[in-house]
Amino acid sequence: MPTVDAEQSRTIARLYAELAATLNEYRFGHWTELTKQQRAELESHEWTLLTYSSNMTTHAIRLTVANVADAVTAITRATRKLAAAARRIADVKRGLALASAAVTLGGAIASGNATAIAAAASSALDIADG
Amino acid sequence: MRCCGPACASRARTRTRPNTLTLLVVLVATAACTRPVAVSRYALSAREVTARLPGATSALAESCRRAHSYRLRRTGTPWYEEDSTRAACAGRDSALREVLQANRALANYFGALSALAGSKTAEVAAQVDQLGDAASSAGPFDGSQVRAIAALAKFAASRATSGYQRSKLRDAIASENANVQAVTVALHQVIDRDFASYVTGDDAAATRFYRSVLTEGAGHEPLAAILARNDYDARHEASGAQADALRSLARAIDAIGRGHQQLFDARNHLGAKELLNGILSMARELDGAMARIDKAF
Repeated sequence: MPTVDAEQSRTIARLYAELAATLNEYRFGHWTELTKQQRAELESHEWTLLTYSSNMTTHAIRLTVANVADAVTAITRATRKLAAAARRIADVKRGLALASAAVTLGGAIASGNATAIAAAASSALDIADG
Repeated sequence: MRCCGPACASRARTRTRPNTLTLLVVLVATAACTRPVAVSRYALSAREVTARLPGATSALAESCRRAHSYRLRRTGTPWYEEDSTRAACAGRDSALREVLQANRALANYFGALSALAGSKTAEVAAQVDQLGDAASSAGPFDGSQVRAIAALAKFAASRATSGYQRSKLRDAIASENANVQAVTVALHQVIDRDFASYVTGDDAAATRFYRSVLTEGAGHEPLAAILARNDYDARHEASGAQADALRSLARAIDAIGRGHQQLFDARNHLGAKELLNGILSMARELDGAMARIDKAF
């Protein structure tokens, strides 16, 4: 069976919609000339054509999206890399906080102040534990 | 406000003697100038646009069920179960999910880009200020030494984070530009043509339904006919607003693609003023589009 590409699907969808519109104009234009049965039959065809039109549009969408599936996969992979890079920057910040705490601890040790040493050590451990 | 460029460097020179500290201050000021604000602004706007698509797809899914219910009611089934409309719209639902999946990949990419570009080097600077304070209170350093330690650490941190940040942003923008272009072109086509076709078709279904009902029964039930006509007018007007909003959304997606191309073209100068101006102009365009989209969905 020959395959229909996205652009052809759109064209067919438009043609179905135009056919439905033509039948619709005829039905209302000849309302009194048509029997109830004929009107019902025409209307039924209109609904079928509208459904076909919608289905062909759906087909066009699916083909369009399928054509970029590889690009979507690549973007998802790049996103993971970016997130990992952002996490690494956060690690640099953490490293600096730790360095800051270490200097404070060094100063406290140099001062010989037991309270300051305990506080600085506790703060450094908190940062190290994350 | 942080000063940037030669003027700032000049002021720094007049305040302190020309020594290593001065050099470090100039380097720190220079590093602060090159923050990729354009990337951050672009990614935020782009992400906001992608966040609008689920609202549009929900409306289209609902519209399909309504259109099918018109058909059922006109073809001899006055009562129908929800299952029958769901089954009739399964194909559209599935296609809409696939569109959302592609859109989500873009949204996540912009989110990650935004997170990386917006990583606060200011936060790093604050941490370094703490280092300076700590060095000061540690004892065996005089004032100039403390300032030198802080400046050195600030420079090192800024280089470590913003250099790494820019290189990762540049890599991602360079490697993904073709993919972002492909996906935005596809989404633009789908929204501008296929979604618009759904709206037109569903509106045609509503027109068919109301016109048939009114033509058959207006003479017998004049009051019901007036109410039905009012209902139709409201529905038709909503369809028109949705069609306008979809056009805006399609243009916004197109602008996202163009914006990424601008970033790609300027990927070696992500802190450039011209790039920021271009991105800000795109962001203003997107803000206007989003206001129109929010009215309809």
